[in-house]
Amino acid sequence: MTNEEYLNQRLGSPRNAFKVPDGYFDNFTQDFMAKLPEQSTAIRLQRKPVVRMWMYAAASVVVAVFTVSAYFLFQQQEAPQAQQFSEAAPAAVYSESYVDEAMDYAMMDNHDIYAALYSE
Amino acid sequence: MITDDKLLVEQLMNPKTQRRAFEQVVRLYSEQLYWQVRRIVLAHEDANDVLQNSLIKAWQALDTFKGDSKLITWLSRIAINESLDFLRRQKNALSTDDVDTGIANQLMADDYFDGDETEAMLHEAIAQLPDVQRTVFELRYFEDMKYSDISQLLGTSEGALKASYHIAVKKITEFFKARD
Repeated sequence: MTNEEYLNQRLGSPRNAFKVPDGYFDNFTQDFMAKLPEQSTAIRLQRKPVVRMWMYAAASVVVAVFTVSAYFLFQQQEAPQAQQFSEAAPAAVYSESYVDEAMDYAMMDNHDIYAALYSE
Repeated sequence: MITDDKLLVEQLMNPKTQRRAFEQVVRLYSEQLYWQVRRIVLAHEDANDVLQNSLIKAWQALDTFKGDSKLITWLSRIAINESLDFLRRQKNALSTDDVDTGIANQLMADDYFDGDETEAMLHEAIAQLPDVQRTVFELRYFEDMKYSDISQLLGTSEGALKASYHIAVKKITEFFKARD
C-alpha cells in the first residue's frame, strides 16, 4: 500500500473541519472596506513623478546659479593671488606690511623717509 | 459587477475606479484566502487578523502587480507569506515544542473546529512540516490545486513541488503509524 493510499484509508476524503462565527463572511467585505485607508500607495506613487519633475527642474536651476556664481567668485579671488604668485617681487614692494618690515630692518621712521625724498 | 480578471485589473490600476474594484476583489476572493490562511494559522481570530493584514498589503502594493499571473495567485502569495511570517513570530515568542505539539488537543478544545480527533491529528502532523512542504500539501490536499498553479504561486518548479508533496505525505503517514 502506498503512503497516499494509507492516508486516504485513514483520513477519508479531505474535509474542511474549521468553522467561522455566524455571518463572518457576509459582513467581512463591508467591515474591511470601512477600515481601508482612502488612497493606496499606488496612487501616491503615480502622483510623485510629476512633483519629482518640478523638483528636479528647480534643483537644476539652483545648481546652475550656484556653479556660475562660484565660478565668477573664484575668478575674482584668483586675480590678486595670481599677481602675487606671478609677480612676487613687485607685489611685495607695494605691500604695506613689506614696507613696514623693511623700515624696521633699516631702523628708519617716516621722518627720515620724508627727509630723504625732499632732499633730492 | 466586474467578474473578468483582466477588466478588474484595469479598474484597479485606475485611481478613479480603484477603490470600487478593490472592494470587488475582497468580495470575490476573501473567503478563499481566509481558508488558506486559516489552515496555516489554525485559530479563527489569528486568521481574521492575518487575512486583513494581507489585504491591506495587497492594497498598498497594487502598483507592483504586473498582471503576469492571475490576481488570486498574487493575493494567495501575499496571504501565505503573511501566514508563515505569523507562525515564525509565534514560534519566536514561544518554544517550538509549545507551538507544534499539542495542536490536536488545542483544536479539539476550539469552538470553531468541527473535526474529530483524526482530523485534529492531521493538522498537528501538517504543522510539523517545513514551510514549503506544508504549503504544497495543504494547497494540493485541501484545495486540489494543480501543480502548475502552485508553481506560479510559490515560484517553484512543478517537479520540486511534486517531490515536496510526496515527502509531506510520507511524513504524515509516519506520524499516524507511530500513533496507531
